[in-house]
Amino acid sequence: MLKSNFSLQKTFLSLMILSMFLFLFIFIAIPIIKLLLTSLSDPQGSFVGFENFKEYFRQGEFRTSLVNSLIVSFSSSIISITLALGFAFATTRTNIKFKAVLKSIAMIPLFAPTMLYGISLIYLFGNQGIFTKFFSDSFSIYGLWGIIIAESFYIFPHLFLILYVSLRSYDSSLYEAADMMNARGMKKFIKITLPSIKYGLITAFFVGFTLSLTDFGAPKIIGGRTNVLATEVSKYILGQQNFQIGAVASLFLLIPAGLSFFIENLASKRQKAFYSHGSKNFELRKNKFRFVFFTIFAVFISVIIIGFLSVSIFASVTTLWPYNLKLTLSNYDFSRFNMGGFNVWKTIIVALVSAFFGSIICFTNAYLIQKEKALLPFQKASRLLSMIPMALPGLVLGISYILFFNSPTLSIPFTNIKIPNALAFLYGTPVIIVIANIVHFYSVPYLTSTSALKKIDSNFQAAAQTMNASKLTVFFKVFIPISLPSLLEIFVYFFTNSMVTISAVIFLYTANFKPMSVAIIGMEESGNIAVAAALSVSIVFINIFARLIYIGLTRLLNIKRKKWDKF
Amino acid sequence: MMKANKNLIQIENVSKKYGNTFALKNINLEIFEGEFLCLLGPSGCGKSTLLRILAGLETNYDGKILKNGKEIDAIEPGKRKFGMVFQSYSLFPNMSVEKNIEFALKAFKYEKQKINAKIESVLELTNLLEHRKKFPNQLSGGQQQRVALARAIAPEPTVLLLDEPLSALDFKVREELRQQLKKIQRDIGVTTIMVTHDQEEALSLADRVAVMNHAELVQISTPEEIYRNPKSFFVANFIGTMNNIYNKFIRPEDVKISDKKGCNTHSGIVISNEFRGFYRRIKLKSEIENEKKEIIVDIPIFHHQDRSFNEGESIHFNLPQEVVSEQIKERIC
Repeated sequence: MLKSNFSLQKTFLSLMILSMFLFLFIFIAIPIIKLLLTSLSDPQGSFVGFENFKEYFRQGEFRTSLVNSLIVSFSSSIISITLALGFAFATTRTNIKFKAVLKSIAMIPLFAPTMLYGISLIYLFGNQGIFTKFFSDSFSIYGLWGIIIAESFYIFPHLFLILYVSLRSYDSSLYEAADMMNARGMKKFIKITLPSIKYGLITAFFVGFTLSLTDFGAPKIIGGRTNVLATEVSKYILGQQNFQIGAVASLFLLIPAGLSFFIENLASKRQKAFYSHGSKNFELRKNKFRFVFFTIFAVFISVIIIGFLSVSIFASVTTLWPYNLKLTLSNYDFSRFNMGGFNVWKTIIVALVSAFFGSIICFTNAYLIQKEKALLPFQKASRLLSMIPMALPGLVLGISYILFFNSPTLSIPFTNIKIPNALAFLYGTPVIIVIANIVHFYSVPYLTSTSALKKIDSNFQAAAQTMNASKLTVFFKVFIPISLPSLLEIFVYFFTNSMVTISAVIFLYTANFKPMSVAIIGMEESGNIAVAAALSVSIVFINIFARLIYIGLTRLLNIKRKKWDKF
Repeated sequence: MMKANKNLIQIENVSKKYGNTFALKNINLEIFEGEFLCLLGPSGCGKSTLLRILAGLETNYDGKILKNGKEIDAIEPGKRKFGMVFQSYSLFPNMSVEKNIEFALKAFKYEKQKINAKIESVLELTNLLEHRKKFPNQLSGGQQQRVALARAIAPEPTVLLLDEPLSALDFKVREELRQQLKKIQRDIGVTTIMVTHDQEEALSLADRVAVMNHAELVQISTPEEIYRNPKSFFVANFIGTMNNIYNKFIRPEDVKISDKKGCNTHSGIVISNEFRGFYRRIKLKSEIENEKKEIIVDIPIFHHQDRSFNEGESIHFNLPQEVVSEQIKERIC
């Protein structure tokens, strides 16, 4: 006899799981499938095998941009890892002062669109840059040099965070044993510290490599005539409207990103195994040389980051850099320019809406996957789909979305069946940008929610069931209140990223709505670099403002929760 | 124990499988109104699964659960009105003690005017009045456990289900709570089913003990009966220690050290001697009727205080009358 407790509650739960799965399937899986199919079809949609690939390889530009991309990604990863390692070491393993402040400074690049680094570089080393005269005439910042420096800045906070986490916890007994054997500082670093953060370093390298490979903003501004894969992809789609070749080119961004995602995953599992037992910190001993060296190093890096930001800030409030340094706010009067559909408030609202729905969807889905058992196959599929955005560069997502939402009918592969695309009406609306933002930044908040939920007793729902309380009541009265700090964190993560992102939205903005980040590119192209700087700086300050609100709210929340929060 | 009570819960032929392994195999069990029943067994024997089935938390199983003669298999957990205490207590950390209790009362749609009085009375019963405003993480493990109990009994459940409620606690607290639990159960007279792997806990708390092993119910009886007359070597050994002599189970405390040789006296050589507080446990190598045996003897600490029982020492011991073999009976005793 099979017992089934069919009830409204169970039906509702199954419906929720199903709709979450459908959301992920429609907005992640189908667009990617559409992209893959497009790369194998002609403009009419007939299957042509690898013809598009052959065509793409025939063009000489492909090889140049591929080589350029590899040089950029490799160099900027190496440069940034070296600096981030030093900075992470300084903030975890030395006695330098003001660690909290230094950490916050290292995070600043997260608040800026990548275009800002390009713009600052132009002001420093560009045609009218203040330092340009110190270099020989043959040197030009427009090109590989510029891109490499800009990307190094962009990826620095990401790499710093990874290495910071790796360096933070360690097994003190190893160092104590080494001390007993009279090992020297450098030897301890090479023999103990480096091996213990091996996986952190590998992860950092691949994250850095992927981020700089797939970034569009910096090479667009500072690349000059030098093409990288990311700018080439956009050229095919936006310039030539050649979707087939564009799809092929974007696969060359997807493959390394996907590969690095798997390596990263593998590394993080190994890293966990490394710390399986008893890693506890011990008190850092005084070491004068270490203190002085790392103080100088950390201050140096901080000054460069702040200085770099300040260049754009300063240039954006001067009349005409570098000839007329009279202060003015005219560059911030964005209404002076015709920027087609651009609006600061609309940008903020779209970011807020993305953050709001993104947080709800992420948390609910993490909850359904983690804590419920109703439709296991769909829950498993959702779990898998939830990790894909991590390996999905924004450009690829953007192109997939145009291809998917722009086609009035969808043909099912290997059949002649065509079904009308019920979602085509979303094309050309800000809704598609909201969805793109949610999907683009989905994985990290999903993981944050999952780890927050993991800490919550899995018997709560069972306990509540025996008390005749509905699952919804427990979700709203127990799970949400407990996870509120994580929800806030997720919200601000979605918001900040939605503000700075360019890669997916560059393909999706509409005549009625153009986000600030897209407007930066437009202004720079039309030679209004000071306005582009002003826009970039505005984004940074909006994000810092959002961050401050977040910190304030978290503090308030912690005061209220102090009594009961043990997490 | 409460006698002549009517049968409240009837478990009929309940089986549950996970893949190819049985979690429960043909369980038949009656639970009487007002009794305290312990489901005792090693981990993985299926006792917790049975409890979850009773609670309504597990739904796919064969067999039937009856309450007052009516099938309740299709009834949702909340509608059964069984109170449950989980091993991890599952107290909502963001709610104070009284809010946790209020949550349960509200979910059972208690009348508003009665809620406060009810909270007051269960807090008094569980000795928690002074902690009512505190949050779970401000309480000790024992106090949290009492809150979980208070929350479970507040809605006046017909049956109270306890899933290893004491096993996460320190020894001292556990003993103290055991007595409180028993007292509370007597006071309110609620039919209680408790899962435990601790035989001492089961023997001291329960009116009846149901011993389970490998998904099956192996014996159900009063604690004394289970201890004195275990039906199998498993039960015998699970409930304390046993010697198996002539296929009879002899408790170590029933083997007596003797100074002189009698007709039911055997001799053995001491192989170990452990001091265990109020008694001393001695293992002997012996030969009984040409069969090599290891005999365990527990000697109260105030007996034979003059002797040392060193390893290798040869000593004599008496077996109880009922295990006298036919051969010995023939001798003149």
